[in-house]
Amino acid sequence: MKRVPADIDQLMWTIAESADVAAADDFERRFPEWKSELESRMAMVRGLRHARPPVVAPTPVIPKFVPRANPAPAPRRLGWVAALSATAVIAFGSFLWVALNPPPPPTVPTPQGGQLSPSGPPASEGSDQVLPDDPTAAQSTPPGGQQTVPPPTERVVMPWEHRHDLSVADASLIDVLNLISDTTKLKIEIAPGMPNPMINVSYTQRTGMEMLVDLGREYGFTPLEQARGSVLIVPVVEQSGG
Amino acid sequence: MVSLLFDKSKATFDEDGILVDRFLVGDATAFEQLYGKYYDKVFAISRGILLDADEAADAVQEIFTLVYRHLPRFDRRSKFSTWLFRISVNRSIQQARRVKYKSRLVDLDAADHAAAPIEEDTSDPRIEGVMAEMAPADRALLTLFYWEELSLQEIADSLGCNVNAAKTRLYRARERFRLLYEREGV
Repeated sequence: MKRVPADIDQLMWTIAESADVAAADDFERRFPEWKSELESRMAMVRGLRHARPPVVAPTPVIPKFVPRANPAPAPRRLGWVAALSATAVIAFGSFLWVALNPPPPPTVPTPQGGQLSPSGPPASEGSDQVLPDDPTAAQSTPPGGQQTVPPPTERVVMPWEHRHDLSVADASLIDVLNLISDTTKLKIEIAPGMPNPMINVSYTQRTGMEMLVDLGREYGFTPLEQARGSVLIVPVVEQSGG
Repeated sequence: MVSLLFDKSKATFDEDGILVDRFLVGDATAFEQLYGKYYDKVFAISRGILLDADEAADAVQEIFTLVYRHLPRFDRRSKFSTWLFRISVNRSIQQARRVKYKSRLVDLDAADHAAAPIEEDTSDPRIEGVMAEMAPADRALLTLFYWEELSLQEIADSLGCNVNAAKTRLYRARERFRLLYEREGV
């Protein structure tokens, strides 16, 4: 069936609803291709108008009006609106609760006591991200209290890669290595034949591996990284000449 | 002459307005007059939307009960009749939806044996069949325009929209009617 142009469509409806026979004849002369369409619409409108039900109430006289006792039931749509509103309020409340109660920032435990005074990184320094124990708390909280979400592509910094302060006086090299292991979470294995002199060290904002390399240069051993977070300390073996 | 015409045009509004005022100060007969005056019109609108005389008679009582209760809130920004027709349309559409839901629960045998209201046969049997297939909101538009012969402005006021929206909605309802009507005719 051919699509009726909008202006012809409008004109046909106007003529059909006016029931003007002269106008219909004129239209059919000008647009003979739409004659049957116009006749169809005129018949439909005529039929529709004539189909008006008689205004005859089931009772011959108008019944006396008595206000009904029961109030009209609320439309079901109102129920939906109320349910949606309640959901929105709950969602907004949850959002507010989460926004006002951020999860506590994850902390790295640091040993304290005696002459040893290792300390963790200041919260305001460094850009390293802490890998939290709780995966749901995978955000750090800067001093301003605002949460920062790391970009998904940012490398996760492991605990042993953090920088620490470490000050030790009059301690054996082995104890210092153990302290470094405890503080930095580096797993340190010491090969046999390791010297154990009494030493003093003071490091500021150094990683465990940096401390080991520095100590190795001074006290004659080599820290070999075996795996992630695991280091083997190998004493330097003096090569015999020839 | 002009002032006479003006006064005459205001007379209808004033008559309803006076009845409303009388009801609001406690004159119960004033409401009965409004009820008697508009019963047929409200019944016709409701009958057109509900397609059932008994349902329509029931709806009319509901509608006038609503009017009775909410008349103190009638703000007179529109004519009383416009406000009444809007309530009539909304309430009838609402009831039509409920009736449609209930009718699904009635089996065909029961429907066949139900006492149908005795009414005059209309000219084209397809019309009522097509009307019954249409959504109550579409039926309301066609009823107001073709059966109650309200103007587009009056329809817009009754539906709570502007004239252009009423025109668009009427056009769409008419197109949907035509599609169903032509399908019935095949």
